[in-house]
Amino acid sequence: MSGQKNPLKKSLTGILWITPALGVSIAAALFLFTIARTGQAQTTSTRTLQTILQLEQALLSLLPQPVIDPTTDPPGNFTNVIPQQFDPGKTNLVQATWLSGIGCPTGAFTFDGSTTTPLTDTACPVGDPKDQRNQGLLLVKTGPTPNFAAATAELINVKGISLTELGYDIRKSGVDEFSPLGSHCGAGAPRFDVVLSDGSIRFVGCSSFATLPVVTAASGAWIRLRWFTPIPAFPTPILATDVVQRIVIVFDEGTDTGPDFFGAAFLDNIDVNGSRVGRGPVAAN
Amino acid sequence: MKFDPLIFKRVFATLLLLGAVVVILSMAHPVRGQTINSAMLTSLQYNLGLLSLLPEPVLDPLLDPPGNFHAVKPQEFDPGTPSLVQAAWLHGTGRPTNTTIALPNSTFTGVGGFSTFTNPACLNDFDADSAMHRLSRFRVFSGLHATHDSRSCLDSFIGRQRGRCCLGIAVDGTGTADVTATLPRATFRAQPLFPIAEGNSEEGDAAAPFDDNGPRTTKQLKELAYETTKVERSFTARR
Repeated sequence: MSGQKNPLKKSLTGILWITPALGVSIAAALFLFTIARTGQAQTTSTRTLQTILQLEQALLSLLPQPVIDPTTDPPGNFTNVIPQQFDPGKTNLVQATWLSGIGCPTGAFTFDGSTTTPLTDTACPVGDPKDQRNQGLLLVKTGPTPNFAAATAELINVKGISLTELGYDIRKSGVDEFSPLGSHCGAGAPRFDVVLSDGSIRFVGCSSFATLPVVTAASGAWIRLRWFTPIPAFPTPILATDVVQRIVIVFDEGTDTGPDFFGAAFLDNIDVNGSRVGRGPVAAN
Repeated sequence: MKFDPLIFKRVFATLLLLGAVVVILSMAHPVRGQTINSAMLTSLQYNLGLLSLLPEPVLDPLLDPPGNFHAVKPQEFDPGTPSLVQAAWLHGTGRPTNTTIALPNSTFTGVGGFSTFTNPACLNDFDADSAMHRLSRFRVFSGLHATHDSRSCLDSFIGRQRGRCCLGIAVDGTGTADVTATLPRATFRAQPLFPIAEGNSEEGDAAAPFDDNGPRTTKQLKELAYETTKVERSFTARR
């Protein structure tokens, strides 16, 4: 009897060895699986951003720069935002224009038939003092995002400056830029495309985790988004020492892109280093 | 049987309490109903006032024969000029039907090809928009509620509806599958609305009853059609 092994003891010993081994194997498998998933996510994300960056370079090379008269628009004096449609295929599925009556009301008033009452939205306590018609910038892309077309707006006279602040007010309900209510505010549109003096491009998406803005004011209808230096951008932040060549707002996400599936954005008070532009040409075709 | 005063008191108290509850409930219900009615009345009065102030376009009967509905003309009603409203048809914002989208070439330096695209919500669109301008009625109200806080609003004239037996009126909206959802385009019970002057009736965007053409609804676009029942009634007086 003494020379024989106890079968119960033998199986218990086996279990004692197998259990940690199994645990280590499962942990290793989970670790490898996690790495694989993370890698895949990063690849997908990077590829998307790289595609946007590639599109960016092409779009900016195809989009003509407005001719500026230095006597009326001296360099560094940011006073204009010019909307234009990028639609090389003539698809008629984009729109970019300033329009009266759609902007964030600052120093406006309402009328009840006999008396007027002052109206200022809490999201835009200060605006563009030259905006007398409550103008807003409408950017629309109808249909699918893959359509090679975009609604754009060129910021005039920003060549040679360094950035300490960028931003705009967006007509959107909710506490932050991720709300599905109101204007589209995606990771890729609307976005600032900033061309630096060395020819490199940075882009600042509306609601990208990579380029999170600061909500400096909000109401039930508007959100004021600001990006401060060093301005978070893809692929690298814009530093206070970087010199700007050109800035364009691009809206190229259509009605197939959530969370709102709206394909349009109302912007106002485009902000560069604290100077706000809230009016411009009515360019609707 | 012996009469127990305690039981009598309890029954009496219960009945009294029940009566009080019934009285309170019967009072509360009409109050709520009155509130809704007064709001509707205000809206109706507002619409009547608005229509009386909005100038009707002058039509040439040769170009616009009666009953031949073919135009919707946006205009802004803004007598106090606070510049808080906007109404316009804009290219590139309408429902895409049999449209063409451009696909970039591999280097994104130009157009590489084309593809067709139709939003399922709009299979039979307005033929005259075949110039592919994708027009859409663009209606915006900035600031406070139109009917109560500011005498500004938007309106569009539905050309030559007068004297016509209307089988249905419709509007396409950019919104989500549920018309009353609080997603991008706000759809209040009364905005946008068809204020039909003849019958003192109005059709609000999310007002019942409406036929929402379920199969032709997508996540982005929804076709709303208000069928005969309410609309025809409102036209009856005029016919």
